Amino acid sequence: MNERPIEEKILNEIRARRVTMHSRSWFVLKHVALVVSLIIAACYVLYHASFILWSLHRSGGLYAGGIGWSGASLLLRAFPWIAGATFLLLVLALGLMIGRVTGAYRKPLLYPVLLTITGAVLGGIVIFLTPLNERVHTFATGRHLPFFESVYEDVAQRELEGTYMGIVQHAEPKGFTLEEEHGRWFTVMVSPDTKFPRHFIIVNGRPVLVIGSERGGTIDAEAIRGLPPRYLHDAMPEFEGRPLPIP
Amino acid sequence: MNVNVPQPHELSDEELVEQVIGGAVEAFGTIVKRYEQKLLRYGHRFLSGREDIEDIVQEVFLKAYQNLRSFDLKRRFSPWIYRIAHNSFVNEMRRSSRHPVTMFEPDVLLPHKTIPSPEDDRQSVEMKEMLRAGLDALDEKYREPLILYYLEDMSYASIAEVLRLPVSTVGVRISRGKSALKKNLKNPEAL
Repeated sequence: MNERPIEEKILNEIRARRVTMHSRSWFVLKHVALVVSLIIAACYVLYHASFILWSLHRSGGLYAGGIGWSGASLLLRAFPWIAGATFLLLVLALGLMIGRVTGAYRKPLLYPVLLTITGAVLGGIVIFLTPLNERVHTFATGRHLPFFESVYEDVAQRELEGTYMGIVQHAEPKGFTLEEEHGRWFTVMVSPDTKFPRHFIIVNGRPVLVIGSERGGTIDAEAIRGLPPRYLHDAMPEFEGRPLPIP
Repeated sequence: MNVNVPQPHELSDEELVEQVIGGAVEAFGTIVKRYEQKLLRYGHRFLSGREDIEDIVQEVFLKAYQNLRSFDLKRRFSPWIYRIAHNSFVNEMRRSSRHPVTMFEPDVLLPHKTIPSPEDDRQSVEMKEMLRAGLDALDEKYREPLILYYLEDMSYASIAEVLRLPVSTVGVRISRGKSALKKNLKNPEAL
C-alpha cells in the first residue's frame, strides 16, 4: 500500500478539523499572560533587592563605608549571601525571559542581563527608601505570618560579633558610654588607631556604629561611624523623640 | 475584462500564509510542498539514523498551521518554520536522550567580533563533501548552523532567527564548526 504524501495527510487533518488554527485572541491572551508574569517576576525581584538592602541596613553593613578594613569586614559578614545568590539567579532568569519576549536574543545575552541587573539594583534602592520592608516586618511579626515573621525577625534580631549600634551618652575625650539598641550599656574606648570617617564628631545623643572587641563591658573601638536618623526610627524607635545633637 | 489571478506557485510564502489565514486551506498544501523536502533533509541531518523523521516533519507542519496566526506577515516565513522544526527536533533529541542538550552556552553571553560570511565557499564541492562526511561527528551546536548555512543556503541573520542566537554567535559557531570539521576529517587542504 502506498504511503500518502505528507501534503495529503496534513490537508486531511485540517479538513477533518483534527487540527485547527489558534485564534488571534489566543495569542493575545498568551502574550498578556507572559507580560503579566514578567511584571510580577520583576516586582518580586525589586522587592528581593530591597530586602537585601534592608537586611544590610538593620545589621549596619550598609553603613560600613569610610572606616577601612573594619567596615569592609563588617559588610562581608553582614551581607545576606543566600539572598544575594538567589537575587542573581532571579535576575538572570528575568533577563532571559525579557530577552525572549522582546527579541533581545539577537544581541549577546550580556546586554539584557546587565541591563536587568542595573534596573533591579536601582529599583531595589528606590523601594528600600520607602517604608515597605519595615511595614512588612511589623505586619509579619504582629500577625505571626509564617515564613515572613521568622525571616524578618532573624534579620532584626541579628547581632554580628564585634558590632554595636546605639546612642552616644556621656562623651569624653577618651571615649563615651554607648546605650546599645538591645538595652545594654558599654564603655567605648577611643584610641589613636580608631578609624573614623572624615569630619565625624562624637556628640551626646548621636546614633553610632562601633566595631571593636568587647571585654567586661568595655569596647576597644577599631572603628566608629554615625548612623542615619532612619536607623534610629527603624531599629531603635524607643530612642526617637530624643533631641539629636546639632552636627 | 481579464483578471490575472496569480497561481499558488507564483505567490510568495508570506502571501500564501495570508491566504491560509483568510480561509484558503488548500494554500497550506502549497507551503507544505515547498518545505517538505527541505525540512526532511534538515531533519535527516539533525537526527541522523532516525526512521521517524517524516512523522516529526508532519508534526512540524501541523504545529505551523495551528500557530499560523502568530506569524508576523512583515517577516520572512522561512526562518519561522525552520524555528518550529528546530524546536521539534531538539525536543526529539531530549526525548531520546541520545544527545544531551545543554540549556545555556557561554558563547551567547559575550559579544563577538563579526565574522563576514564566506559567500564563495558555499558553492564549493569540497565543502559540501566535507559536510556530508563529517557532520555527524560534530557537536550539535556547530552542526546546526553549518547545515543551515551550507545545505539550506540561509543567511547569518536567518540562522540567528531560527536558532534564537545573536548574529555574531552564528558567525563564530560556523567558523569553529568548520575548524572542527577539518580537524575531524584530518584534511589540511580543506578551505
